[in-house]
Amino acid sequence: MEKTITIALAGNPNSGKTTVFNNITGAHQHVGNWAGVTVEKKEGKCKYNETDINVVDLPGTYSLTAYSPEELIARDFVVEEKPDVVIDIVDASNLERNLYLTTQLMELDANIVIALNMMDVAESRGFVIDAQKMSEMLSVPIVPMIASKNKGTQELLRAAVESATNGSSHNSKRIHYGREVEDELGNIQKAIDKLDSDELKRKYSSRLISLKLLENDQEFIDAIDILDDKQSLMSTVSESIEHLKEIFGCDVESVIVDRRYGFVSGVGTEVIKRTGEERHTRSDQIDRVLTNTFTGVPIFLFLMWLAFQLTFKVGAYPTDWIDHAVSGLSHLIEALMPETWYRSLILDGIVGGVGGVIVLLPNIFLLFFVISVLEDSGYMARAAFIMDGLMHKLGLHGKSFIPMLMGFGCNVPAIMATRTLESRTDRILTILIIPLMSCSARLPVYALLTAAFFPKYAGTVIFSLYLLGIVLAILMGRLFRKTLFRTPMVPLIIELPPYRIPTIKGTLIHMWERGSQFLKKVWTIVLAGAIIIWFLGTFPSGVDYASEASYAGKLGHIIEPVVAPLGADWRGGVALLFGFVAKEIVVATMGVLYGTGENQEMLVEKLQTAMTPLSAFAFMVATLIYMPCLATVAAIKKETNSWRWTLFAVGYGLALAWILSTLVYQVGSLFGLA
Amino acid sequence: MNNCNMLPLSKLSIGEEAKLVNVQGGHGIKQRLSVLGLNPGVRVTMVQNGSWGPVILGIMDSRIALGRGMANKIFVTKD
Repeated sequence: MEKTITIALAGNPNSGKTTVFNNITGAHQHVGNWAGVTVEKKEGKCKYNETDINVVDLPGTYSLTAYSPEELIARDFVVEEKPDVVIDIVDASNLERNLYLTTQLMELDANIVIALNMMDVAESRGFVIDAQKMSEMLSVPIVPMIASKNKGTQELLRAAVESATNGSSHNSKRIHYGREVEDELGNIQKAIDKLDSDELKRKYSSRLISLKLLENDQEFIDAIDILDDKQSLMSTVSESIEHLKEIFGCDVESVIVDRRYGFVSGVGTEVIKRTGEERHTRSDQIDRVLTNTFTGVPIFLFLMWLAFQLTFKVGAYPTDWIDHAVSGLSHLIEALMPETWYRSLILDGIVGGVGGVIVLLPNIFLLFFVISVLEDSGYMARAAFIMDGLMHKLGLHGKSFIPMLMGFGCNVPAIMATRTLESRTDRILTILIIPLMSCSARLPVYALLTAAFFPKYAGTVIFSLYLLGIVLAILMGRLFRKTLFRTPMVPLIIELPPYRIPTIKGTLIHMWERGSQFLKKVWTIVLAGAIIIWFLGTFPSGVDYASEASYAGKLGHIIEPVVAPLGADWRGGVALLFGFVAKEIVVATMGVLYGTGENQEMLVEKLQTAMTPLSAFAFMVATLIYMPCLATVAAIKKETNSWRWTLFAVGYGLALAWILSTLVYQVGSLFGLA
Repeated sequence: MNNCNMLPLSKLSIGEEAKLVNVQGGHGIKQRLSVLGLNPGVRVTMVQNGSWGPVILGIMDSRIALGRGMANKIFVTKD
């Protein structure tokens, strides 16, 4: 008999939930977003005997309050989609903390199976857990496992399928909140039973509603608030809250949370046997060095340098191969196809534009590899810890540092790395200032212009541009924090998971998932942008590509009055316009515009007659700031999930670039430097 | 409870143990701390505390990093 069941995976962050998900579903995964939010939704399929299983990975959470979107998503899924089984992944080495979520799942009347993960870590820390006894105490099936070694996966699936089959018989243990609270819960339940709304009562038990109202849970309050006959219920609730406050002398929420912990620690005391008090675990010893006030920062900087080298130096080789392959393809197309407009579309538009993104792939994948290793090993949380003090002073979060640093290599993976930030405002703020980090694609522009105008001070001039980017990022960060994001900063509160050696499989899966998802999302935007630029450069038909007679050239003349204050002519305008596809194209475009092709020496000579050192510097400032490249814009759109913020990022960049480069040119002119 | 013995968490030195008394902060912050196990009554150990930047707390069997501002608003008693 074939049948299909749905399993949801719940668990704390760092409980090994993702590893369990990977073990269960293997390659049969699908990554998307939960409706309306940018929280990742992962789904997969597998088969156990005759049963087809749909697996949904819920966001990793510590509890199921209405506090964060992740928690709400997890809660709504359990309540509304009513999965046949909820597998609660519990870190055995951290039992009491993990069981808090379990108590909340129990209160949602979910059909729970506990995956007691990381039994090996628990053992190495000197804990022995009596799973049998724990299962009896909670009235929930428990499967001990070691997900990192793929041990226990089949047993877990069997327990889940069994539990789904006798689903109706589940009745997990109910927490007793003490006589006073239970009395009030009873009063509220009576008031709820009098309500007319079936909608609410169909979804939740009246005990759960009462409990959540006592807990001051915003979602439940809102749900009650729209009812017509809420009056008597709401007054009962506030009476109960007042009454309990008098008895306990503190918030009812704290009493409830306290009781849950009481229950959890009761279970803990009963089922955990400590074979040796290990006060200084290995993790603490490592932390003593890695998060130390004196050694922490140098080690962090060294590791970042290493990550940077791996991402961009090692990545340079495959990037080179792809670069060659792309130009090989261009030559092939050139040789095989007659010279027509569509050859030009394929060559200059598609291969040129999309090729510009494909060459970034090695960097993107390597970066995700590095990030996965940092995350899975537990170091990422420490990095946020180390940088938090400094970043706080800049109005940013400790976790913003790594994405910003990555921005010097390539803005695209940097923007994607902001996912480690939990708060949406912190994430958007970081995304907005990342384009000010001068990425490696801007370097060829600096190299060309400094070779032409500042041959003796090339290093200093280029360094000053990088520095300008950093200073602007700090200033803009503070400005945005004071104007756009006036919500107080989310203070740093993170768990430092014990250090772990990341598994190769897990790391590779993480890397592949993020990289391929990125490609899927951005290729349409990149292709469309590349074709538009190609169109402007090619038409009206018969003109030389990107010449003065083309639409791009005409556009250059139209924007000439705009770029004139910063000392650029129409060619500068066109070069910047084309640089939107990818910033390194600025150099190639100048080659076309000055008729020197790929001959850099000739281009340098021509530039020396057309520009002055001052206008060249102003132009470099403009190149640094003016607009994120096409792939970056696509990444911003994808990560913010908002065209408004994407346009804002482009708009403020343009405005800032114009103001600063004009300032440079005009002030310089005043001092007679023009 | 004798309030004279209360001190902010950030004043604990490395290795010192204390009992959490209260958190000065809004509902959101309290919730967030509470789900990590930082509730009144719980015993905490200071694991890492430099002269600036965040601190690391030991609570039950986990380690939690807290921004210094936050650690100034959490009050504990040493017994």
